[in-house]
Amino acid sequence: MSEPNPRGTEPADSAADSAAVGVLDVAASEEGAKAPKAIEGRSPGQLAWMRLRRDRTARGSIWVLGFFIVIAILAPLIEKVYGLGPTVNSPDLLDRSGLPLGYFGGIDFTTNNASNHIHILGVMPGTGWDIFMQFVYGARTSLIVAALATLLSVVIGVVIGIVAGYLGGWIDQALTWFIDYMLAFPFVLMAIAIIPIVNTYLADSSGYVPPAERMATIIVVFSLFGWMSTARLVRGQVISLREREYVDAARAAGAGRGHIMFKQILPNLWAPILVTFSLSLPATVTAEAALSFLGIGVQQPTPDWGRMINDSLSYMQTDWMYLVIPGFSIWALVLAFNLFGDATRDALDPKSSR
Amino acid sequence: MRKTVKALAFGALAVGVALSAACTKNTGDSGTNKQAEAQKFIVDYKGETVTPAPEIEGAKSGGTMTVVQEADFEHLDPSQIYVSNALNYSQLFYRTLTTYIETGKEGDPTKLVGDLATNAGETTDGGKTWKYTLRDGLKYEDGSPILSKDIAYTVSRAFGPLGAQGPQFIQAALDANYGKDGGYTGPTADKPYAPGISTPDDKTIIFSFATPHLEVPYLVAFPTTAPIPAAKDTKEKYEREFVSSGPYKRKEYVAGTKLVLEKNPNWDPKTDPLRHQYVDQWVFDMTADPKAQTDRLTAATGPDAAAVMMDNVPPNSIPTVKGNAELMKRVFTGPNQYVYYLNINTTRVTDVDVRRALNYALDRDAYIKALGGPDVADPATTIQSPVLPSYKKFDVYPSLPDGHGDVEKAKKLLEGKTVPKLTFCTSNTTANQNVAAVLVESFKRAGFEITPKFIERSAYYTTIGVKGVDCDLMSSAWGQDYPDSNSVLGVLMDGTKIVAEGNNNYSYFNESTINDKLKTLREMQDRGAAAALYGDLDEQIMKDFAPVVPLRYGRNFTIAGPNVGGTFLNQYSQFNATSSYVKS
Repeated sequence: MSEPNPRGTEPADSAADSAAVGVLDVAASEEGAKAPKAIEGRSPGQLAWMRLRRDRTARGSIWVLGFFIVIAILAPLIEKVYGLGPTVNSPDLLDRSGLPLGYFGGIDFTTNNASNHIHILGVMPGTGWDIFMQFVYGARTSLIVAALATLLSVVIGVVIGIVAGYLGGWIDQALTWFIDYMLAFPFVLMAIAIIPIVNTYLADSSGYVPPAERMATIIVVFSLFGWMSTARLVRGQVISLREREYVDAARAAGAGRGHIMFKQILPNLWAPILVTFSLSLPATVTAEAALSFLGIGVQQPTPDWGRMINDSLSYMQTDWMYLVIPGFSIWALVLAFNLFGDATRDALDPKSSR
Repeated sequence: MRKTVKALAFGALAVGVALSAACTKNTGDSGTNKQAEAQKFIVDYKGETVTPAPEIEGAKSGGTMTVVQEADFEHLDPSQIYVSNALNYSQLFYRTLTTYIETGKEGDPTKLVGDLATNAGETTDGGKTWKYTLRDGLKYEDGSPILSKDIAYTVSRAFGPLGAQGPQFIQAALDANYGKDGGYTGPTADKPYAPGISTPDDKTIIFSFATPHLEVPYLVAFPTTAPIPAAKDTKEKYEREFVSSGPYKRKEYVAGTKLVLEKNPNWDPKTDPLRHQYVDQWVFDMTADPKAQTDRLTAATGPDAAAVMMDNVPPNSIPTVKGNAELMKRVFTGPNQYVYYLNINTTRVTDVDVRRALNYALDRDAYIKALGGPDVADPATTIQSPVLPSYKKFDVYPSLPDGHGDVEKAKKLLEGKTVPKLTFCTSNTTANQNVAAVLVESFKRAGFEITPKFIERSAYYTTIGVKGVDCDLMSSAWGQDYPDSNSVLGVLMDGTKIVAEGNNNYSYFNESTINDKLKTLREMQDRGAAAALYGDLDEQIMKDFAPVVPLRYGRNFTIAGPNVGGTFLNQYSQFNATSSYVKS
């Protein structure tokens, strides 16, 4: 992908840019102080947004993400308009062995079939469920789990990072050691080990775990094992920020530690936090799909892309379309998130290496 | 830009290739499975079966036969063997008091005959004592004679921990306290034999019971009666160091990997009504999962040309196999003994009309397709399997002709009732998750609100076997232990057998009229007449009480190599080993 860099053609703005995000880069701020060419007042946020808008990759990925987020939010509405639920059996759309009739896994844009309904992405073999509706509700599962888990892990990471970075001393040493300790755990392996144990604990007398609790387990485990990189990053930033004059000023004015950490330093960290957030989201999406693929994620009848892929693998030779759709969905969502994350980083910190 | 064009061209080419590969319209195929016939069954009480076993037509001697399987046999200790694959292949090296003879030809009856014994058993008091006389010239692999005391020892041994995983029927019949305090727990110096076993001479063994047990000829066909010479019993190690009484003996056994059997020169065909010794060597290759087995039998190269697979072709590979006309000639299909039920917990769903409505509402077509279609299963309407002699074909809750059930009738039955919310328990496997969701949807059409509950696979049967379990619907499967309905209806529908835990009557169905009938049938001497009555009872239970929704009869779909001859799928759903030979 050799996407031309639109910012490369705008030297005029670069000075203002670096001033805006100078807190991230001491050298840049000094350079920015030399030649302030500000004609109209723009907040750093506005500037970042402007740069983001000019980035073609960012625009594209925003559209793709927007699409997934909208269908995830509007899933019940789409179901109403489309007129078919995600788990409506249509055995008559399948042949005797349970494979979809017609072309490409039962893709049908006419209502001239056994279910009297269109199936724009075909139907699932075995059940005859509409793949489009599975896709729509699957987006919901993926995004809810990924968004909540990432949010939680970022919150944990930020708090630990700021505390470690600002307080320093033995607290910093202990927390850094703890971060390293947690980083030593192979994440997916731990999830595979822990989730069934937690589920056994949550289960009722007959071994059943309600779907909501199952999902909550995944989210909590993900956030407990996903905060370390954020914490490290934030700690590093805080160490450079805590020596700044405005922090000294606040300290001189008699501000407490909590105030300095969360009211003075934290607002200057939003840019890197946003970037980690948008870059760790796609990792969580794939991890969730991987767990469902391995059979310890969400269960039927909650639609899920990872489980769909697992299910579809055995049909690879007979109904490959079924594998393509969830596979493509995860690929598109993860790619869009990654590109968006990269673009955000570039927009917020144009001096970072590219 | 050039790059983009190139990439686009490649992309288009790739998509085009993919499309053309799949651009065939699936229009479905037609045809139905042939309905299984109820089996004819003969018990040879008089000892009329000839020895040696009649030659198999076209059989040749020599060669090596390979059995491809996924893992080692769970047990090969005769007291522990209960799984059907071991029941089948252990016939190559264990002989039992009685055995079954099948020919695999349509219309030929299955026979229960004397194996080590001269006949299927003699009783003069209505089934309270059974006498077995051993044939002449029986020898172990080392040439020492097989004596009745060895069989008495083996049966007694099965009372202890070494028999814990094996069938428990004969133990429970001989000792009323079996498994409880004061029960017999295996041979000791002062109590060498279990209560009720006596050996008046080297050739006679007598079992005596407190109550009539007409199923004894079936029970002594289990390897529980395969003789173990007490001097060579290595206890736990006997799993690997077994002594052969049949036509083959151990040559090499690498646990979990490979078992090789070679001819046993001390086996005398003149003493055996069942077994042949055509093949020089049997090799059990324990390293291939069902998919790998399918691939190997599809290729059938080298030693695999004379190989059979132990498992069924996985449902998803069936379409590929069916697309290969040459391969289809080597495919063996047929019903197996398993019937799958949706048990309705009758202690929780007490309204029989609700249970009937569930029977009407089930969409069996959707259910069977979710499992992989008619190559994997036939729709079931009875409690008994079609392979049972007592099977009676009936359908008291007929579906509409499209096979999707009869939702209108179900709704009518539910009219004016508040339909209870039901929980449906099933074991947690990927396949089960899909199937459960299909079932839930199919009942939804009649207004049932059902929540699926997935229970860990290893704990599933333990969980639902606890009396008072909080599941309304439970899926289960049952295959008879011996071809008599006492081992089906007598187990699944007998309310007097409900205990605190470890139940098999998952509907917790307890009707005194049915219990009484089952008792009468159990004690009938003429098992043929009893079989017909069991068929009627099956229909009556379904019609009047509907404690289960019969889901499907299991089917086999498995492949043999092109050089395998003389075999067929027998009652263990396995390739019959005792009659097989290697062609060319």
